[in-house]
Amino acid sequence: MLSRVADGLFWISRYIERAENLARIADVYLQAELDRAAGRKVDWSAILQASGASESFATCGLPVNASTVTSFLTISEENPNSIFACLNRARENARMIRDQITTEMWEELNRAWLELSGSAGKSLRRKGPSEYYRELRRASHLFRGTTASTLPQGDARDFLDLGMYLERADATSRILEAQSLQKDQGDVEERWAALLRSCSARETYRAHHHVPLEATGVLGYLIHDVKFPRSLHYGLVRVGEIASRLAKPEDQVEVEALVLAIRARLTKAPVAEGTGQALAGFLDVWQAELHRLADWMTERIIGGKLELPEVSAWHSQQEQQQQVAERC
Amino acid sequence: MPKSEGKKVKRDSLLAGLAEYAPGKAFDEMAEGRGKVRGLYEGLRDSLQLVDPPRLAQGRASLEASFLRRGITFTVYNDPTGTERIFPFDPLPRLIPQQDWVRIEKGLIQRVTALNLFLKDIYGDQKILLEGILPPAVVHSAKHLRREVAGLKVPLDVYIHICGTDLIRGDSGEYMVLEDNGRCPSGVSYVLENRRALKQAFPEWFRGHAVQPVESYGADLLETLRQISPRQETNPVIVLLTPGPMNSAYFEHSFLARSTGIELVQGCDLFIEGQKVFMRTTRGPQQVDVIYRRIDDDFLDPLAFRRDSVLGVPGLLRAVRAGQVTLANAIGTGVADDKALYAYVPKLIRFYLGEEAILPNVPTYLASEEKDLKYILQNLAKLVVKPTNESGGYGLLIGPHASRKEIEEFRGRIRKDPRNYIAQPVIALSTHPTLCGNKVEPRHVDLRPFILTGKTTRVLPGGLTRVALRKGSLVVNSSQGGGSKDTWVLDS
Repeated sequence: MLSRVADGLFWISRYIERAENLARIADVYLQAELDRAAGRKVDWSAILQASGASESFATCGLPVNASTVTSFLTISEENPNSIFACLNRARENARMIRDQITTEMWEELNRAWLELSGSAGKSLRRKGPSEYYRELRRASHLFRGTTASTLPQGDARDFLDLGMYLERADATSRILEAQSLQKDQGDVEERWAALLRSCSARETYRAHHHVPLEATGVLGYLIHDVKFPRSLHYGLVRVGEIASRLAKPEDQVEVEALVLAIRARLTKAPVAEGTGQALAGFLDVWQAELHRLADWMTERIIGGKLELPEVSAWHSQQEQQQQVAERC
Repeated sequence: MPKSEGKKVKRDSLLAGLAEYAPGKAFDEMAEGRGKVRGLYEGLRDSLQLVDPPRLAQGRASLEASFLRRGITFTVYNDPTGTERIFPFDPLPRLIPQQDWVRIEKGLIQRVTALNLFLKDIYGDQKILLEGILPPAVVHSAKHLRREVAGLKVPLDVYIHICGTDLIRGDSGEYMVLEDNGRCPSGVSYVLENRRALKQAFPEWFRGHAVQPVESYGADLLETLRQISPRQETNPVIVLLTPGPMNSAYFEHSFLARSTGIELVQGCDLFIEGQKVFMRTTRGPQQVDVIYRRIDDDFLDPLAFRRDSVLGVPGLLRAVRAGQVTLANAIGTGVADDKALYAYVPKLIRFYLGEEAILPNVPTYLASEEKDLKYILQNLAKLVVKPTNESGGYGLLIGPHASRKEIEEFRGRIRKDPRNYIAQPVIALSTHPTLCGNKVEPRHVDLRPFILTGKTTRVLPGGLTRVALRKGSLVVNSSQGGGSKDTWVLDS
């Protein structure tokens, strides 16, 4: 497979997953905001921080509140990682490698882009943010399901899955971090319920834990569970499996060692202390480790960082692509 | 007014519209005169009359939605919002009877065969110049002549593997060649997508018609490309080289890659080593044998042609010259679709094949010939003037529709650079019934069949019918308000 194609597949998947998880975070805290009765106050700056958007938000000079933060995370043009921006890039990547994915996958992604970004997205948001975020999660799930049922096993599937699990391992940790950084930790039971809900984990967790919700159980589930598809452990293990499948023979030892080292550190997650600064600090380290792992895979598995042309060269490339006359 | 009554009125008006369909002066594909439908179109007319207006509206809406959903769009240049538009599609199909098609097919094969022989000759012995059939200046002043490939042999002696020849019909319905597109003709993806879309939206129209299928194009293209591989003993690696996603025809590039199963690459995916072409893959370099390139000669190789090209592959020309890779189409085919050369194509056919051209040219005046120049300058208001090296319908003067100022401007330009202009009488392209709002009206159409040449030459049945959607307009180019139609070649 072309390195550029592998890179495209990997990033389609990451952007879709990123958009889905932004929708999860925004949605769950918008719901929490409604629970004023419980005396809980949402700390929106913590959400910006966990989403890695504090700096770009600060340059906009807006007050921090539910509406500014959610719109920044969802549609803002100032935010290079907004849901809109993620959808645009996922679709742009898919268009570039359109010949490598199935028609069904392309149509699902293209439909999501038509309906959920740009002007079509505006009409949808008029229905209310909750409905919009639900639609967005659904679009992501439809894309995954369509992929699973139309794309044969092989490298293309592996690169898509690699991007998905890597991004999810990162995104779930950001959902946990957003919770950890909340100043007003509010009603405990409600907080754990919201956290589970934001990861679509409330029902599956309940099915196996018949005791009141508490830190060790909930955090342990979202971090260590070996079967729950959004846990950090699960994501990392899948990343490791796929990476070994894709790696060249001479890189096998290295990729396994890298993943094992991160797994070993994961076992030391401070779950017993509940959310708070200790957990937030731990999650920061986890995200940095995933970042290094992603860099390694780009270099060794995808086939080297694709050299992005200088800005001026990039513009002339765009211009030339348009100049080539097609006689129609 | 009760609802049902309203519907009835509407329906009657569509029926009346069809019954009163009145072609203008130009040859009309469906009707010989007001309400007089040719036998060929009777079946279609009957089906159309059975369509309820709401059904028609719904079918059109679903057609549009399906193009959008499938991403069959082109990027609008110079639009900062990155808008994508669909190429307008008119649902009323254009019909071509078997006996007409047989002649068209023969004529096209004859023409492309002669052009390939001409290219072999021009980049080889140049007999046609030595024997005085063609003035050397016509060739030597052609902008797209590539001296870099003089003397180079190409597999099977084929230069133009993929050709899209534009045909129009004159006043009495005779087919004529308007231009040969021997570089990177586009539009074939619309032929296939239009057929698929129309079958889904109005399946009932196909009943009672034996429409020749077009699906085999992908397989035929692949077969053609396989035949020209320099390594015939191994399974050839074939790629389609695209300028990239910002190009207006990118949809077509990815469509063709999908329907042939070949890899879609950009210049940055390829590199040259030891005069061989390789692509960068996740499993290391892989040698490439055939490149179906959809970029112009100019951009192919910054070491040989345009130095600032970032779309090409440095050293590609050397690999081609070393015979390690075949390009489709070959480098330098532009000299064969030069508009001044066009005037000589009937002579080429006579010279190389000893035959008369089956499909005639449109009468053409060359500004580079003194006698013709005089005629052109005296008759600008009656003629269509075209630059010889442009395409896409740009830089045209349509005399009868032009202002005095425009005419004078062209007079100056032609005097300054006569080699760059030709002129033709205005041919009112044939018209075809087209859905305009809720009415069926005549609109001008042309036809671009697609011709593949490897060991043999094959023509895709039908081709792309382009339609000028603006009333009275003769410009069918997609960039200038043109749309397209499905084209049916009917087995008799």
